[in-house]
Amino acid sequence: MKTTPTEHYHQQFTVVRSELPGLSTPWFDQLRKDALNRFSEKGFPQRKAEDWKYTNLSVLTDHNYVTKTDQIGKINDGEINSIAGEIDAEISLVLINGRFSKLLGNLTSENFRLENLATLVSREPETIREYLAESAETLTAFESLNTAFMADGVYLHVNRDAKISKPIQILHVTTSQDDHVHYNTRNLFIFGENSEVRIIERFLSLDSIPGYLNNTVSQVILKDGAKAEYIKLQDEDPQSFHLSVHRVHLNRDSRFSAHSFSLGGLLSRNDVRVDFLGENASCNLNGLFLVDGERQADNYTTTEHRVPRCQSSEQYKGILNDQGKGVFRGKIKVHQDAQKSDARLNNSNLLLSEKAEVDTMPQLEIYADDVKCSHGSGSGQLDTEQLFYLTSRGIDHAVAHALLVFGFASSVLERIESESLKGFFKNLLISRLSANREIKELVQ
Amino acid sequence: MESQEHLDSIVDREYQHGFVTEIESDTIPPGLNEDTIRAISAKKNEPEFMLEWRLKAYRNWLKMIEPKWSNVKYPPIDLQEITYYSAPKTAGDAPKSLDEVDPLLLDTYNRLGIPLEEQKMLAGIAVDAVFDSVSVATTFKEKLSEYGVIFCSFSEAVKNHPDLVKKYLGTVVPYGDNYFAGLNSAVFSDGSFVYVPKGVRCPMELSSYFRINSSKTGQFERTLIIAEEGSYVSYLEGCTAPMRDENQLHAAVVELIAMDNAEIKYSTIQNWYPGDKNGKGGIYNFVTKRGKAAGKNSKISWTQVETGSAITWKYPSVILKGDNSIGEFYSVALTANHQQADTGTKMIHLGRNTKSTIISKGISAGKGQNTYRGLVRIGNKAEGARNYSQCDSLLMGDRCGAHTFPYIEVKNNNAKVEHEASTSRIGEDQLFFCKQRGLSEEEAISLIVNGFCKEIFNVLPMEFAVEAQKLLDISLEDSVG
Repeated sequence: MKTTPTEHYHQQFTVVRSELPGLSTPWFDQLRKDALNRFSEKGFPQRKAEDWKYTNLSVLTDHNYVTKTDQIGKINDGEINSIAGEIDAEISLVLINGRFSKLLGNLTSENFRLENLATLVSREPETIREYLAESAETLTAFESLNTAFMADGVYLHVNRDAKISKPIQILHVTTSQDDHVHYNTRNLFIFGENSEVRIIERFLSLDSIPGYLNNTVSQVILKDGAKAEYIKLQDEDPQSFHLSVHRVHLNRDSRFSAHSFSLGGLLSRNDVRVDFLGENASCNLNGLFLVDGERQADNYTTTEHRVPRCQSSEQYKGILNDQGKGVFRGKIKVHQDAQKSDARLNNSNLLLSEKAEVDTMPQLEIYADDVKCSHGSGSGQLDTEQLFYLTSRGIDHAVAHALLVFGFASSVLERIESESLKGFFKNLLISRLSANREIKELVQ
Repeated sequence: MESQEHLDSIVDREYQHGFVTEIESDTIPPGLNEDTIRAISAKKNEPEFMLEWRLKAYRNWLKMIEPKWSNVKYPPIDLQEITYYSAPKTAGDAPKSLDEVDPLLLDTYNRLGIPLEEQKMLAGIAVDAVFDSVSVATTFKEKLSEYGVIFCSFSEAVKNHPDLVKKYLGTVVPYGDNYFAGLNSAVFSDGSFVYVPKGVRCPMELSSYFRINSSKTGQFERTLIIAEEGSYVSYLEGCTAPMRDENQLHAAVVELIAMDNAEIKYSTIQNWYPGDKNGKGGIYNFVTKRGKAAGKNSKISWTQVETGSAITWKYPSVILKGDNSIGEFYSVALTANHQQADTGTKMIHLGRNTKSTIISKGISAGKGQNTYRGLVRIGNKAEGARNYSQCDSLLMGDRCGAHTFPYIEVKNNNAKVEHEASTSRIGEDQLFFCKQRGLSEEEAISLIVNGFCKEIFNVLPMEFAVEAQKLLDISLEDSVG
């Protein structure tokens, strides 16, 4: 008889518990146990659950994922270094198969502290206690599993008033060689008062075999006046699964700008939850997803305006090919006392094939009256008149097509503040388009 | 603050149409079981097929559970407390002229400002008035029958046109569709039936006023409109109800079917008792309305002005099955005091080149909660489908809420779907502009609100547009403190 998920993960927990960090810290061990129990109580979301109605969860829940505690796969150090070198970073932290591998770059900066979570948990767990304890209110089964099984991750603390001009890079490389392994990473980003920082987090696969699951949870805290730009690139194996949750807390006068690029994965899901906790904070959420084959990308965002005078704007775009599927749910909630809130949300999707599908839910929930809120959504195909215009000027049809697709996506690129990162993503995007050589010439 | 007083007086406005007509009712004791259904069917002398359908619906309904997903809150409804049949007692059979109608009933209509005689003379509208559950007067029947249009109460249709009823009943809203539609299918008391034959343009607007009167009487109306090939019909429905303290459940079902090149226009003004300013009492309006644009080039258009009811929960929808068919939804929903509304539409695009338009305007005042919830689904065969949706909300007061939950599902790349929504309040600058030009604050608010709703009023039939504007004005009338 097949074991139920609950039985399976309890068994797994017994097996791997001693290999996971924090066993000797009672509160940390308890945190894991509580999370596991919460998972047992709730189980995986039901097919009809509102947050999963457009996602076929069974591809995820039909398998019982296992935790691997030993690092497997041949890692070519030179290759890793050259990948990391694609970004001109202040410092890069590399995780391989969900475990810390190495740090590259400026290791002596006094502006920030960057460490892997496992080390921190074993050496000075109290440093992160308040943040992890806060996250005990787990919302989904996958977050519970993450807490129960978190093996490693990133701890980044940027000091007060620190201004770091080059981006800090977090590189997650998966080289899985086993069936149905899950990697649970946990990140803690804490940006001190009036600090300014830029983060790029990349997920990619090297020679991995299909079917692994990357399940990551990140907490992002911006203290008063902090400014952060955060870019996430998910470019994993097209047969892999990727689930990520970001919980973002914005304090007074802070400014958070996030850009999410979902290019890989058979099923990927980004869940971003932003809480405004201090007045006059602002948040920009941008996203771009590309799906083809039978791949699916989900983006769920929740923006909670809890205090007055905050501003949020959000733009997500999707490009869908073949039988690709995209789901977008953007929820803006303006609480009763959050007067003078300004919230805008937009989602547009480009359907390039007959069998592509997109499901969109831009939602507003408003309990205050002195607010400006709007949302918009549009889905369709390329404008035939624009295509005609370009071809009538001697541009090959395929090139014109790709050029328009690039044009559609470029508004998301344009919102990246760092010029060097903008250039990186521009090239990356072009390389994924058909007729990319011609495009490159045209747009450079 | 001056404008605070405005809002207070909006919140404090009393329901204007509240009174009870004392007429003896022929009532079945409260409770719901198979015997109730048999009793209803027997009272109405229904043919066997109707009773069987009701019982099938009831048995299926027993397996269903009350849905909880809406954004409205209400105490549990005890369905065993409700009286499922209550007919005004009239001597003998249905009256043939107004003289035979109970004078008390006529007086009720007069006080509501819709005297039958006047409407007959001035407006040229045939009124099939449903007082409680049984149709008491039908006018203009003869003129309509010249054109072959059938416009009668549902009970009459069951008796006189059983084949049509049998053929179409439940084809758009099956009895297993949802909890409240299932309940309606089992116990529906009466309603309207319209059949427009091939090629006929119905010579007048058809109108039916529903009133809820007898205390504790749930209203389970059922309307079925069939427009044959190339025909056209415009149907108006308007509601006000006497003041009541207890919540009353209204679970109606409306089914529309439009064949090739046919058009149905369905307009509603809903002004049932919303409860007092503390949120006590008021009608629960849980309605299933759906149209099937079955034929090529067919068109179904829903227009609604929702100002009443403690809770409004309905989604007039269109299934766009025929190629080139068109679906429209125009809505104004006002919630004040403790009113709650969760309303919107579903546009299901199945045929090629189908088009739909959704314009929804929500106004929230006091502690009112107004939710737009809508679905636009483009099926994979709906080549060239097109949808435009716009949902705007106006907030008046800092304790009300406006929510928008659209669902957009696109499975065809040839389709073009657009959705826009905005939320705002009446701007200080707008008010200042109007007042500076000599308008009182009350007039200014009325002007702005009417302007906000103009797109909807424009598509209402003339008589209704006037009534709707009046209704909003009345709602805002006492707003100057």
